[in-house]
Amino acid sequence: MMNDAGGALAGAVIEPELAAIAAICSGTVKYMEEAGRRYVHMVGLRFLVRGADQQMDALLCLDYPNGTYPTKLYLPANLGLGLNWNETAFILAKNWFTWSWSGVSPNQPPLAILGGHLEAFR
Amino acid sequence: MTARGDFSRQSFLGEDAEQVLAETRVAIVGLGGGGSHIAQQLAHVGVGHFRLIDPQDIEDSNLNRLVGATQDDVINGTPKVEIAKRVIRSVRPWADVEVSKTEWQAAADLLKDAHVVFGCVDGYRQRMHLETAARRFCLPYIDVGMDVTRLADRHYAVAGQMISTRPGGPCMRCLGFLTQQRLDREENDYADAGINPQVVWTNGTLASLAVGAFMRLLTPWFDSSTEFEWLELDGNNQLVSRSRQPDYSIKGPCRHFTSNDLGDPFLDLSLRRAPKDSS
Repeated sequence: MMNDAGGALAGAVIEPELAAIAAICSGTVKYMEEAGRRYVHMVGLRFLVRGADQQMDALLCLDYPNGTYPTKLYLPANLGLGLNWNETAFILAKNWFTWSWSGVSPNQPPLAILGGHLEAFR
Repeated sequence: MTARGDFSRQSFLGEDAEQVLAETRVAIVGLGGGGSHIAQQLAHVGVGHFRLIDPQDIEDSNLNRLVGATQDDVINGTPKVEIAKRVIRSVRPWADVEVSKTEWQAAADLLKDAHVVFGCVDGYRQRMHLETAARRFCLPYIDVGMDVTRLADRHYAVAGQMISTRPGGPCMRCLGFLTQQRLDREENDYADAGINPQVVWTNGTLASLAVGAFMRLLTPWFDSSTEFEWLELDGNNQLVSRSRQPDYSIKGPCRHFTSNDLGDPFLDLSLRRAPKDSS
């Protein structure tokens, strides 16, 4: 198992479909819900931003109720990069930034949804 | 007259009202046209603790409606929260006023600390997020907003609303105010956002309705057993009426916020150190 501050703890139960995401995170990866929406919360997600390593917590919404933006990725900081950052959200009692990155289908595995959003930073 | 002042003209609010108000903590998110009015009125009625959140400095275009602002403030670029603090303290020097010149999402500690949250923000999506935060911290939420719609050449409709919701009751989505269509349109058309017209007299009317809703929550002068209020202001005809939309929209208990959505889901008590043994 691991705590939310990071660091593996023996015996953590990870949903099978989240195992691939957990492999690129330093902390827990789990489903969470708020206001009827389902999220994947990731502690210490490792990803590339313009070729440079980044690591931060992230929140992936799997059922965002907007046909143009059916899924969304939220990060704890605005990474800039000239993206159309358009919202500061408050989800699960935390402050998150998100941006307009449309058309990532919810009808695919969580890892593929995550990859679709991380394309914005390549 | 007490150490805090003479509140005899509002003694009908109840013999404990002065104490209740002095001990109440309010968070006001947005200290522009609506929030500045609300702050001023709450100071007058004797609220003792204010949490003021707004990231902006005043601009010249705010002077048409921002209560307490001066030309010098525009020249100096005074933060809106500081103007509101000055107004409150000029009325009630004893008031406890904490300010945060940030986006409200970055000042959650001030929201959590409040008994009631006033939302004076732009846009449907920010209202949705702010009500979500209020629900998570189990706080009543009072929202004001106005809009001016161009109907034809030189013909405008001025309108606004005051909505008060409480944990456990219908939320602004249940009421039919925050519709998915409105939320989607705002998000999909974000690049087209223009200047939002605002005028002082409409802001002031809506702020007064919000303070009235707040007083009904806290003092027993009038039965306030309803779970929500949605008052609509027809600014063209200067009429206030109860919205009929909830009659058609509410379909049973709130399905948007459940008891599972309360508190900080990331609070991890295992990270807290046990006190050292002093023996």
